Amino acid sequence: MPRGFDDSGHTPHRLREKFVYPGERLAVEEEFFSGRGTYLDKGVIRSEELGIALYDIREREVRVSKATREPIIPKEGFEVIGEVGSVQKRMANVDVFMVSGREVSRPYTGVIYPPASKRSYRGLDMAVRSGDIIKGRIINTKNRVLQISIDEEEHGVILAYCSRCGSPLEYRRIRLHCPRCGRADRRKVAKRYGLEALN
Amino acid sequence: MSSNEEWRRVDGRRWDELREIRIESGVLPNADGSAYIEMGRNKIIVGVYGPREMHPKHLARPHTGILRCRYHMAPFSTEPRRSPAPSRRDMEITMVMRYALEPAIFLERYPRSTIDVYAEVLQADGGTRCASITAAAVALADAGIPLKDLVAACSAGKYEGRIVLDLNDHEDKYGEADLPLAYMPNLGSITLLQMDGLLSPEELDRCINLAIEGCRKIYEVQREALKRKYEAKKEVEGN
Repeated sequence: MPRGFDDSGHTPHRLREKFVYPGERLAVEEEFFSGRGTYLDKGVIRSEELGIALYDIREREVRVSKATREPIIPKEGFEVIGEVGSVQKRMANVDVFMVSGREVSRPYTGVIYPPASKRSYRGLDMAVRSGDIIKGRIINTKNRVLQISIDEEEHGVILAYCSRCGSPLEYRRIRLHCPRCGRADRRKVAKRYGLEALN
Repeated sequence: MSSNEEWRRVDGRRWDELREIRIESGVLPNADGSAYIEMGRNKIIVGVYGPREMHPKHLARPHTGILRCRYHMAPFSTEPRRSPAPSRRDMEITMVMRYALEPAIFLERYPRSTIDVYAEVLQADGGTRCASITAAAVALADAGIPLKDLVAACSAGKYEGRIVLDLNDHEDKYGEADLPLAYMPNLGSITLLQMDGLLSPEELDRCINLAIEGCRKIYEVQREALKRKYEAKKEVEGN
């Protein structure tokens, strides 16, 4: 029998669904486990979200599926997009304005460090420049700033501007070319350079 | 003295009657969460941002998030016009809002982050701190921030020798006492209790109980406001 269905095979195996508000009493801990969107308060399971409470009889779990927006909390493994600020050989600052495809109301501060093992580029000043838009993955959040890696093929610079005239650069073969002044630049370019949606 | 049932206040309310309340959630598309409240002639708009990175960074705490509030009265909110600069009273209510809302938020889940609450009083008629707290709780829920409970706030006090609920500006100025109270109805916890004026211990008890009753009624209006927005959203998604 498929998981989540009762003996008839049709009815979802849940006691009931109801609209709940933060703080609403859902059950006691002797009856159910406290699932996602709930919290325990002196043996009572309460909702911490505005949403639909689902009582799963088989798993003996009550959880609340959120009806509101999900706050954006950057975590390890999330993909981010940001604008590069100052660049040094061993570190570059990034203002992260998109986390997992969602725009944040105020940018998070991130840093890119050179890769520890793989050396696809010599120093970070060769891989990114100030003003570039990069895509990367969060690898650590513990040290006040988001530590970002651009090692993967699909990560790196997704939009760059000419350091001479300021025009957006185009990717041709292995270099970035300026269509206006003809200057050629090198970067650690992402696979989808110029194709990422930025808002 | 006429009996409590016959007696009417300056605005025609009974002693235990709240002013008319209207709350709307999700009124500001640019904020993460927002709410607008009309409580009698009070009109207040609240916007919530976050959780987001703390600036300036030295204020960030490594093991918990921080709730920052800002209560501000618009220059045109009172008669006569008031200065737009933050006053001593604005700063006090800013702090009081933070104290009232903090117990409802799981701040420990957002280390090094901040949640910002901005309350702007557009029109004031007494009881703006309570109305701001009530609207801020709705805005926090609208922002999707997990809460232990909604916080509802209401005042009770003494006017012309009688205990009354939800004092307006006139009763606040010319009354004997004012007691604003914020309350989490499901948890039964008081998150804010202030008092201005003189009350006997019995009167204090009556005021607290009356304010709690008021908070319970306001809580129902908060729930309705949140549910209305959810249903409207569901309808849009259905189409």
